[in-house]
Amino acid sequence: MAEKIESVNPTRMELLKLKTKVKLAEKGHNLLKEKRDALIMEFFEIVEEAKGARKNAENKLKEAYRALTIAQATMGSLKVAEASLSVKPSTSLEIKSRNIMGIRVPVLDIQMEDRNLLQRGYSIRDTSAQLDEAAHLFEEALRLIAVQAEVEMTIRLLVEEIEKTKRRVNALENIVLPQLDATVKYIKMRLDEMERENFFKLKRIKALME
Amino acid sequence: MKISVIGDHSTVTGFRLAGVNEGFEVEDSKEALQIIRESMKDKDSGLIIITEKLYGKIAEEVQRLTEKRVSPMIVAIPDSKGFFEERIDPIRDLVRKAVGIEIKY
Repeated sequence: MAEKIESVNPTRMELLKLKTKVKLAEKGHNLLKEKRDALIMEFFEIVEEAKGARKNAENKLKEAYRALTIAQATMGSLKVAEASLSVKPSTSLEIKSRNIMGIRVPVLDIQMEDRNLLQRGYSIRDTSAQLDEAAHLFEEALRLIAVQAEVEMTIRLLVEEIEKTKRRVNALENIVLPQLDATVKYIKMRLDEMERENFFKLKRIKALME
Repeated sequence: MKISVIGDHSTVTGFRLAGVNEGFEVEDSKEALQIIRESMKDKDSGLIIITEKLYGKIAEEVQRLTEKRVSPMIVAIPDSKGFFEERIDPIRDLVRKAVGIEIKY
């Protein structure tokens, strides 16, 4: 049994106030519960997405590594490293945000110019076609990794929000509402008691007067 | 915003070919952590790609660093030698936190 709120006056006014409070708390509780359920549904959808994103990125990466290894084998890894250092940075990233049920989640917008082999920046005279292939695959992998990062971040933010909502629901359900109920009950009892007392007084006075 | 890569020689070389802004070749996790710390101060740093092998040992620390912020995002990827044996799936942990049960997939 929950404790009643301390220092509450057992008056009718107080009772009315408490009753509106209870109503409000119940309404809030229901709304939060709905929010929690909706968030969890959203969460599972995104988890599904995340699995796919991770797999895609990893598969592409595997291909890219293989191509790189072949390039290193044909050109020598020193030459490959040298070529990689002369590549101009050409990616830019923009983080925008999207709204899922009041939570702002990031959207990664990765901008990469589609470069042909001349625009990458290394000389094509002493590099091989395998290097171009590897570079191309790594570009694609990078795009997929950005998707993976976005989805994983979204999941993290969703989880935080779910936890917060859950805690609020539980607080209302297990602490606030029982306390309010207990207080309402206490005031009702006191009021009833006072009424009985008054009734008895009246009877008593009437008996004395006769 | 910038994309950085932290990893071994092949990984960094590969991503340099793809045109990332910064590549750091590091040997151990401590160096990687140092670089991540530096990047956190940089407002322009948007995405950090790190190999799982390096990330595995510093995962907790990095998570603590990035807990309350959106950027830079940190993604762990397998390196050229394949998957890290004790790979950590960040999602599974989160699923358990959110719904209270562990879900296999």
